[in-house]
Amino acid sequence: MRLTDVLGSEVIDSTGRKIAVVTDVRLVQDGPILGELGAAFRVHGLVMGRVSMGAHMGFERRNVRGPWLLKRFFALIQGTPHYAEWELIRSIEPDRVRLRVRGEELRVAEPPR
Amino acid sequence: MEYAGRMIDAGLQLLDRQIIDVNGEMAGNVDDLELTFPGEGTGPPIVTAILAGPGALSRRIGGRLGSWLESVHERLHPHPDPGPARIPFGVVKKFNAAVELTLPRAELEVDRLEKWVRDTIISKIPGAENEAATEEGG
Amino acid sequence: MKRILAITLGILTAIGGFVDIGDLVANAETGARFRMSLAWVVVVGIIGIIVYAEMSGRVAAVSGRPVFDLVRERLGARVGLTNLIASLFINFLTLTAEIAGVALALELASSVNYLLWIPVVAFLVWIVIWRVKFETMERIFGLMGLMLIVFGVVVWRAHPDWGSLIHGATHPSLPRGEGLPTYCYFAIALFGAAMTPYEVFFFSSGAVEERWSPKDLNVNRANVFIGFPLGGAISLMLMAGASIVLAPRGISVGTLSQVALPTTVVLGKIGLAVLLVGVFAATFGAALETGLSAGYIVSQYFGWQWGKFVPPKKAPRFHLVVMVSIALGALLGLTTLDPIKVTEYSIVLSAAALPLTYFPILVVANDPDYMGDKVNSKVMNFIGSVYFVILVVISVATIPLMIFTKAGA
Repeated sequence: MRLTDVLGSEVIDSTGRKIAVVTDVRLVQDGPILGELGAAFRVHGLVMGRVSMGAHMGFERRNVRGPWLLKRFFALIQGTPHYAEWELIRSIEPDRVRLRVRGEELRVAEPPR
Repeated sequence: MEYAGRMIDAGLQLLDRQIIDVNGEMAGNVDDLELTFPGEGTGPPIVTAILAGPGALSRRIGGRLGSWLESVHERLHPHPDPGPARIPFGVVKKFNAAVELTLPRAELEVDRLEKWVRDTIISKIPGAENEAATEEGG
Repeated sequence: MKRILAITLGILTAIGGFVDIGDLVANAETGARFRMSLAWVVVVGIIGIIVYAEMSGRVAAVSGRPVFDLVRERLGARVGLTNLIASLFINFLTLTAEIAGVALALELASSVNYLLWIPVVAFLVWIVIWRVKFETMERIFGLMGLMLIVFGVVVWRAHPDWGSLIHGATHPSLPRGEGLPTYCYFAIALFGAAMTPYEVFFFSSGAVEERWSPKDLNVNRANVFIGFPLGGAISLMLMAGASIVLAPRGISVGTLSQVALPTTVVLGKIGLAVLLVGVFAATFGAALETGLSAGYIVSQYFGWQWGKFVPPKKAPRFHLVVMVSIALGALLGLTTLDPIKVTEYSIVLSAAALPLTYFPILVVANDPDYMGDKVNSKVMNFIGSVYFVILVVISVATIPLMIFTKAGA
């Protein structure tokens, strides 16, 4: 499976509604040892938002402080990003991700650091 | 849950980054990442490789341009049905603004088009090996 | 001496931005038709390119990554490709115009038709890129291009009414016979010329070619704060000269010899000779800049090895792109397409593509993972954002205005 197969996929919750699209895949470095890098990176969960523009700005990260105008503008377009840990995902299909839970149960995405 | 390991967002921090080999030479872009499900059980997939080159880029661009790119990739490849060029993730040393590898470029699959252009065209022009005329002192 | 020469990257970049063949004609034409009413646009353009060139130079010095790496990273593969294609197209038109511009300068000097000079110029541009060290190239053409300071001498020796010159610049007005849409069209053309994307492509790649590190941030600032104002000042002097000599006589500018007229009138043959050397150097420098930029942006998008800091054998695809671009540019020039018109179109079209290039720079300059503690200050962000909004507005207005005014006829 490729990363870009998942990015941009529709997210369908347990009631069958499309609630968002996948805007990013969060990885955590706690897998089996893999070369000089140490532990391998495993998928921790999916970040989702209203639109997937194929662009990655990084404005939602806490340590990025500006510019104010662009941050506000993209917050407006993207809406509040939400997060689904791996355990909450039922299946990953071509262009579609199905969740085990309802959209309302997802927590708001925090920057990974 | 508490995780001791580093956390990153793949699309923002890994995708589309410049790849640099062990000698500081440029070895392509992270055009995609290969995610592999672990053997038994239903754990989350692991990032097993970086995918680079026209074979990987074609899928992202899509459309007619993407298919053309795909056919360029296939034509340059000796095998009939090549997948995209793979850089096993274990070869990554570290990454920040760019992804740094532990191997030289020549040992990677991604060098194919570069070699072709070098051997067919550039090497034929005099002066191809030299560093540009140096200016001493100053 | 080396400290002084450290700013030649900024000077050469500025030359490509303010006094290449397109600017020479545009500034002269503007001075002839609008006198000093559009001078403020050049000043606004100078500030804009200073701000963004400083950011892109800083990013390159701290992270080693040039602008088009950032374009691909932040906009993604698809939108990045759109930017690449648009930028390449504009770059290509500009390169064609610069090669023809060098040929025109040589025609003025030698009375040999410029079409015959085009293949010679193309070959020379290529061989300089192939063989001459980046720093050497930068110094020779940057410093030789500064001969265009002769425009300032022209204005001084013409003993103009300084009061009315300054008044004209600070009180922009529409001369009789010119409409507001045309005024806006020229304003966009001048601003677009000052902030053409290839300037930051070249400047940031040049910073990496020169191996700038975080220790070189002062060098970055010196380059930007000296080089671009210098380039802008030269173009303002050109505008003033045309405003003094050509405007009262109702002479409009369409050829390089008309650009040179004020100099010939005021300073005679010697002035003309100095001017021609300066024009040759400036347009040749701009040809180098655009030729290299084509190679830089394609290679940086795909992740190929690029740069003059490695032997050509180590960057074959980069050099192939450069070679093909120069060859195609020469061929297009040989079709006797009017190089001046080509430049005018390329400037205006590049105005439309500006936001896509400058947006990633502004974003990355704020990213602490990239920049550590060298992120933008609030002031930088404010100015950068204001200019970004201006760029978007211009980008939207350009093509309709161009159609409406029939390209400034």
